[in-house]
Parts: sequence; C-alpha cells; structure tokens
Amino acid sequence: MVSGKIVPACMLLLTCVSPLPRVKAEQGHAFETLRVALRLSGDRVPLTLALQQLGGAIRGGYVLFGIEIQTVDRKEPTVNLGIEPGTALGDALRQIFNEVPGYRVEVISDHLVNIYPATAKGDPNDLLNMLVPRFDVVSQRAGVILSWPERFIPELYQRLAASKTSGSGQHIDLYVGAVAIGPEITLHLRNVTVRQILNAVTEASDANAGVEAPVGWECSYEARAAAGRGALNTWRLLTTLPPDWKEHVQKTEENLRR
Amino acid sequence: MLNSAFGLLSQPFCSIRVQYSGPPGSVIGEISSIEQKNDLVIDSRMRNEGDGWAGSGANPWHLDPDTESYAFLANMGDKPARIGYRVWADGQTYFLDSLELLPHETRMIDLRKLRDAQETDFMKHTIHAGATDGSVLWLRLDNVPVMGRVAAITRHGGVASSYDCCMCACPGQYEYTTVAPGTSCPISVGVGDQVNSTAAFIPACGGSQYYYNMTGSSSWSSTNTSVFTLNNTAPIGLLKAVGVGSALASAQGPTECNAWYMMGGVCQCSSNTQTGGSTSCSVKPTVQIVGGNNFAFESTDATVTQYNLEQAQGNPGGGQYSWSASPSRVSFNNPSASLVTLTGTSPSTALLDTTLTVNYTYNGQPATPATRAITVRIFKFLQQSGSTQVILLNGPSQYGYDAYAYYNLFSNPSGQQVPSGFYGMTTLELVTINSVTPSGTTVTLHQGNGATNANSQILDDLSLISNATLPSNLHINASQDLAVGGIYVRSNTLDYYPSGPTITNNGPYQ
Repeated sequence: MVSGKIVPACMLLLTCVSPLPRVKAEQGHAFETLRVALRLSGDRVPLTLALQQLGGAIRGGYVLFGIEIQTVDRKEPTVNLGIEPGTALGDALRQIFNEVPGYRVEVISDHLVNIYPATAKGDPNDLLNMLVPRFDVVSQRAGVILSWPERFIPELYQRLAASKTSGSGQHIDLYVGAVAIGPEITLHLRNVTVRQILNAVTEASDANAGVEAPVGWECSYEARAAAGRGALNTWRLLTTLPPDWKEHVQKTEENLRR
Repeated sequence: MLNSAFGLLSQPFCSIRVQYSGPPGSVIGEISSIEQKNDLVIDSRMRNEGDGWAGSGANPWHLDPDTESYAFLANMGDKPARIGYRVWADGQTYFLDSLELLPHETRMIDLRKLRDAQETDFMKHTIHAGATDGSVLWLRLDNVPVMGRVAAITRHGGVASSYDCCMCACPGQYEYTTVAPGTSCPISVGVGDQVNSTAAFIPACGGSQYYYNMTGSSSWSSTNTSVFTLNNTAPIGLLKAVGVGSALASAQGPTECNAWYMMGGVCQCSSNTQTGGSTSCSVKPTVQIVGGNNFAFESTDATVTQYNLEQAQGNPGGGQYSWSASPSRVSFNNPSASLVTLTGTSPSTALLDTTLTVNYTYNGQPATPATRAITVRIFKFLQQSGSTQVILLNGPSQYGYDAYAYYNLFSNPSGQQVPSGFYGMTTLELVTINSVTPSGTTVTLHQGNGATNANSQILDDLSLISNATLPSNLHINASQDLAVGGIYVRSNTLDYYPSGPTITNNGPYQ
C-alpha cells in the first residue's frame, strides 16, 4: 500500500498527442528503445488481442495500454499482424493502427499509452470524459477498479444505473470475475475525468508493481449506440506484459515486498 | 655390502657404477642382490659404459599372484636420454611416448602397476587388464648410453629371472611426425583441444616403430588464426577454436638423426632432418538452447503462449535456425528464429515425452543439434486455496460484501500445479443466475474478464453489493464455469447469502 495523495489532474497527464498513422516518439522514449522480440502474425486479430500479443512480445521493458474502443455488434475492429522481430514498438503500433484509421495514440508516461477514437475526447456523451469531483480508494486492487470502476465512482454508477431496467424490489449487483490482480493502491483525486482516473490507477499500479504486476485498462462501447450509451459500456483490465516484466519494474525494496 | 657402504637403506633400487684403475679388460664384474629374509638372489652382469650397443632391450615379463615384473632403465650418460618404450601383451602393443631419463637416473617401471592403471596411450590402447605375460621392448632415441633389464621375481618360490637382452646397438632413427587432435576434428567454436605431435622412430637395425611425444619441443602455428590459434606457451599445442572454417595445425620439431651407423664401436649419425607435421582441422558452429522451460502449455491464447518460449543461441551468430519437435505435439510461430513461441497442439501423455531439436547452420556448416525434452501441459482443474474471504459492507452507500476466492491451477499429465510466475493468463467465467429469493429482487450480473495473478493463481471476485440493507432471506443461486487460456477447468455452484457466498465444486477434480 502506498500513502495516498491528492494530485491535480493537470499534473497527472503529461501527454503528447499524435494522430495516426504517424506515432510521435519522444527522444529515448520506450517507443524508440523497446523492440519486438517475436514474430507476430495472424489475420483478422481483434485489436485488443493484437495489443496483448504486441506487449507480450516486447523485450527490454514493457508497455501498458489504456484503450477506448468502439465495437460493432460487440465485435472489436480486427487487424492483420505481420510484425517481424526487431521492430521498434512505435513502428509496430503504426503498422497496427494503419489498419484501423480513426484512432489516436497518446503517450501518457514512460509505460502508459492511451488509444482512443479520434473524436472521443471531444464527445460530451463519452463516459470517459465525465468529470468526477472526488475519487478516493484505499488499498484496493487495481484490477478490480479497472474492471468495475462504477463500484468506486458513485457518479458513474448513477449514470450507468439510469440506463438499466429496474424492478420493483431491491436491486443487487453481483460482481464475478478473476479480476483481483495488480497491486493494492491508494489514491485521492479531485476534479478529474473518468479517463484520468483510469490512467491514474494504471500508473499507480505501475509505481507499486513488485510481486504483483501493473495493469492497463480497456473501455469498449457500441459505435452505433445512442447518445448516453452508458449501458453498453464494458470495462476490462488489460494485461499486456511480457514474461520478463519483473526485471523492468521500478526496483525499490518497498515494491519488491508488495 | 651396498646398504652399509652407501647408506642406501631407503633406496628400493639403484645403479652401481664401478671405476677401476687397471688396464681395459682386466676386470669382470658381477653384482648380486640378496633378499635378507628369504633366499632370493638376483645376479646381474656389469656393463662397460663404453659399449656403444648398450641402448636397447627386448625382454619377457610375467605377472601372477606370486610374481612381479620390473623393468629398470639407467641413463649412464651425462645428457638426458629419451626412450622409446613398448609393452606387448595379448596381441596388443602399448606405448610409453614420454619416457626421458635424466643424466645418471635409474628408473623402475612396475609392470603390474602399468597394466592395472589402464591408462590409454596416444593410440588409445591399454595393456589388457588380464594380461599375465608379454614382452618389454625399449630403444634409446638419443645417442646416450642406457642400460636396462627386466626382473621377474617369484617371491615364495625364491626364483628370479633377470633379463638384459639387447637388440640393437644404435639409437632409433627418425621416420616421420604425426600431428593429431586430442579428441577429434571438427571442433566447435569456443572449444579448446590439445593437439599432439608424435615422432616415429625405428631401430637402426630394423624392427617396429617406437614413438615419442614432441608436443612440448615443437613450434606450433595455424594457417588461419581466425579459425583457430595454437599455444606456444603452456599448455603448448592447445588449439583454441575461434571461428568457423578450416585450417592446418602445424608443428615444427627439432632436428633429428634419420640414419645411424656404427663405426669403431660408436654410433654415428650420417643424416639429420627437420622434424614436423601438420593436420587439418575444421571448426564448426555451436548451438545451445539457452532459455525457456521444459514445458509448454497447450493453448492458442496469446496470454498463455507468451510463456511457451524457447530460445537457442548459435555461435557465431548470424546463422540459420531450424526448430522441430518429436512427436509433433507443438508448432512453432517461426521455426527459423532463435526465439520461438510454441503452441501446444496435443498434450503429453507422460512427463518430458516430447523432444525439441534446434539445428543451426552457419556459412553452410551445421552445428551439432541441441535438444530439450519438454512436457506439453494442459490446464486441467482448479483447487481452492484457503477459505473464501468476505469483507462485509454496512453502508452508508453500499451494503453487502466484497468476497474473494483463491484457486491454484493444475495441469496434466501428472496433475502438476502451475508454478508461480505465469501472470496474466486470461481467465474467463460464465455465470448463470438460476434463482433469486426473495421474489421481486432484481440482480444485475457484472462479469469481469480476469487473469492469473503473479502467483499463477486465480483470485476470483464474488462480490455482492446493494444500496440498501440485504434482506435476511436473501439467496441467489448461480452456476459458474471457469476457463484459463480457453481451457475449461472448473464448474461451481454459487450460493449467495447475506453473510457471504458458498462455493460448491462440481469438478473436474483431476
């Protein structure tokens, strides 16, 4: 567990936004230094699976993704993979997103990359843009937060509940899944968007990785859904680490005890 | 009495040199060795150092429980004397190729010890372990007077045979040099091998060859030092393979006499020659499997196959790899890469029943293939670890509980637990709500797609949350199926009550 702190949103996100197909790489950033060690091939691979394969094939470091994705009939966009060993991470991402135009890649931090539809950030109906006055979690598994953020963001819960059909009796939510992975984190944020919360959780999991691994996030929704499409949003933690990730996490004694 | 006269009590054997002042031929000497506790007496002739023919021998030996045989060699000169030495027994010839006597040194060779040591000579021969009879042949290789004999002693019988038969007057004359690797060529990159230079000599009077190791007295060179180098300092003649290719290893030895003749009772050399030889040796690449596990999981899920890695390393780098498996229980994402991902296609029926082989070729030269035995495991069942953890929530905004169950993951064959470190393997669940009490209660099911944690465990969230106090008669019955990496591993019946969930395992159990 780390001690919590209140962090202004503007300090959380030091970003460089680059429209695809050109993926901007900062000098010395993981985009330039990380290389793919394995050949990746396959036809019509779902986008998040392609990113998982890419992350797992990297050596010398790792990358986490926070991805917002539009689905059609609950199906992700697909890509054809043909990435050779030695390809730089930035070039590999360029190859992937050349096949799914309309997405942007944004470098959030050393390890975190956001991917989202080009129009997403300006869309007031996008749940990820919803402003949250305060977000407080203490000793919660990052994977649980990223899988079911509405459990920890009352405003999001209300927004999603509003779109559900409700009976006359008591309402109960059952949360089931092997999502309790990642380090336990503590965060106290003020006036942040849902997107910023998810990124902060992933970065906190990265900062506190040791025994437990950092986790990324995914939020998908139907492209053809009407405005206020919250009911169709699906949240998921995203694991994109290579097998040797432990060699590259921040090596502090505190982390190694976690 | 030599013991008292010369203080030789501690010496098991020696040579006696007698000088006299009379005219040549006026004294005949004989020496007798008498064992004090028995009646064993060994008589030996005394030789004139000036006899040029003192320099070779061919004598029988015998070994049995009561009989020992010893060969004695004495350098009567003032210079070192190299000796060609061969032992014949049971149709096999055994050579000593590094026997050199210092000036005035007497050397005893215990033939029983020589036989029983079973050390191979430079031709990889030994004296047959059961040999009881044979002969010893020796030949001086330098023009230095050497005297020798073989004594066969039967202690209980009080019998001794002492042989000092000669066969040839002059030293052996040089014939040729053989240069040979210690093991064999081709040799692998990065490996060292001792190369030996052996000179062949024949008696000037005819007969079979004797051999002497010239490695240390030779100057060594390689015709291509980018293929291999050769040491000219200790250990002299050591070949170090540095690159793929072929080259000649050459040894240039000292000048040796290749024609002796006798004149006036003295051996004279009529012709000297430069000694030396060479051998060709090729250096081939090497390959090793340097990374990966001795198992692979059967799954096509990328979060699982990312752990099915095997890595080979060829030396020198830049060559071509080729992976295969027998039987073909796995496929390779790129069988010509050094780092490959395996996809298990059929599980093993026994541990380590599949052999991975990687071939490596560099510049057309193949390395000896590297192999690894692996097991193709298939996820089979989950076993709950500990009891279900429940944290009750008592408002004000949330009621119910956070609940977690830990599962360990097991695989076949042999029901082995998947060890720690296999993080992030996709874990999917299918949950169906069968019944809800009390009626009118609405339940929204949120299913999360999870993954194994860093301990390769499944930490299953079974939380129940409401915005009001839970009814005391709450009971939700559900069915749950779990799969890891797309492989079905467990069925549960879940019963949710106000105090927490219960889990009933419906298998599989092994």
